[in-house]
Amino acid sequence: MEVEEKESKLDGNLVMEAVSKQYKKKQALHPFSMRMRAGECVVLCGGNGAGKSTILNILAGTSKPTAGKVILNGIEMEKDKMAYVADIGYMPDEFLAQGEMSVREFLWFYASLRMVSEDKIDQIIMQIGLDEKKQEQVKALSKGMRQRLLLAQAILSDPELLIMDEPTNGLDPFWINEFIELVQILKEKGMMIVFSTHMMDVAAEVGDRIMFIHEGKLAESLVNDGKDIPGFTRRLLKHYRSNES
Amino acid sequence: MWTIWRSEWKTTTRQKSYYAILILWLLVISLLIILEGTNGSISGYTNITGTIVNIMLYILPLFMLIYGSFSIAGEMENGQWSLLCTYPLEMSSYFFGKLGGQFTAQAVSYSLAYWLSMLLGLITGLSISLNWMLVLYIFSLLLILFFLSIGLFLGAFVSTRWQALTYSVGGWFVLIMIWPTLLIAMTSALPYPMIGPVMKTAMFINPAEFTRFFLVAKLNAGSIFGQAYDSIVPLFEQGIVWGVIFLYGFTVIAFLGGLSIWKLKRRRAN
Repeated sequence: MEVEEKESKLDGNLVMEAVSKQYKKKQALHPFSMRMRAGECVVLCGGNGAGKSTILNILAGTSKPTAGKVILNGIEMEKDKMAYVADIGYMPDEFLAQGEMSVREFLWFYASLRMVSEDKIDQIIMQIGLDEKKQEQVKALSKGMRQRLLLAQAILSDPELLIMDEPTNGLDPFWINEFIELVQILKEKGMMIVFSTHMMDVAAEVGDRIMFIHEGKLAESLVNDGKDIPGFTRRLLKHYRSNES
Repeated sequence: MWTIWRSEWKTTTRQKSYYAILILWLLVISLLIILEGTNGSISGYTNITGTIVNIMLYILPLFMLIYGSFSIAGEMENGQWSLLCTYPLEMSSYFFGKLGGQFTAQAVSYSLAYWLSMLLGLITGLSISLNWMLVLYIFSLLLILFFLSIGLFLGAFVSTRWQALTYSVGGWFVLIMIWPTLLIAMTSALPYPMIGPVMKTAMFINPAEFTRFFLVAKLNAGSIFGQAYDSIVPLFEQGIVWGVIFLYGFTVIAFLGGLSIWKLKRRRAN
């Protein structure tokens, strides 16, 4: 009974338990724990080299933690990696591959790896505003367009957990606004979202929790009640500066 | 696997370098045919056929090793490997998809150049035996397949294209350039009765030597290898040769594929 209760508590949740990462002599991430519920958005903030990408890479399964465990919907990453990655979507910070492919071919490639239908590809292309560019080669796209394409790749299969490394880099104000709206929609669908950013206004708009990472440690965690976004943005900026100095 | 296969084919055939290599093959094969054609007709294993085979043995393996190793190392560098690690993709599908896609792309380019050159030769009045054309063609395709597999295997162990280039040139140097010297040096230290069996075993270890043996035997010149090979030559002259090639190819690709998949799985886990 106790086991069942424990499992049901984990179901639909993301659990990071005392996860750490060490590269030779450098401790990139000190034991870090986090729990998330369906529809929740956690934003990681901090300076360059703080450890945000290390957390995201561990969550995405591209970096093995030195210690600790990650559990998604009751699936422990270390024990069943294939089942774990089937439930996630990952948007990397930098991606320079497959430039010769067209926008549609690029998405078709990733869609077929997750058995996503052709209709969904066209739907996503419309959603990210690349309908007119769908026959163009990826290498011909601007930085912002490429970011949108990477985002589309990550949400193609409606994953349980969406992980994004600085997704607003290169986006113009219009698309930052569109990004905020999209994240709100995905949250309403019950998707768990974790991403890193240096833009405090974006964090205040969509983040339910904002975690400040400093030198591989969780420095502060702030809960956003969503009532006073401008006020919360100012508060975040203050915390950002104090964590940076 | 088919998704990776298709992507590899598209990515390779859309690069300008792919067409530069096609032109290179066309030029090299046409020049070799012209050289061979000075005799008026082309058939059997002549000294000029030997020259053609040697040139093929020099350039095809080197290019295939580089193509194969760059195919994986490039993805390690540009971030695609990391992204693919976040997908439920089996490493066996990744390796064999890459091998299939690369082989299709390289075989198409080579075949176009090869048959165009043969056609040019025939148009200019050369008499080329069909057996000669087919044996040389199969020999080239086998070289492409085996050395692409070795290239992909090397790619699974490196992280950058510079490393891939170094490993590829190193592999080419051992398997093509200094193989005979290496064999002579090693066998000179062995007792005489062991030399024959070691030489025969060595032929199966190096795919370049195996394919060369196949070509020479199929052109009815197996006797040039000497008495030590008399027991093997009939295997390559009769119908059973296709079974031998299939079994050998299967073993080589399964061995290299198995090791590469093991390494890629380890890299994915870390």
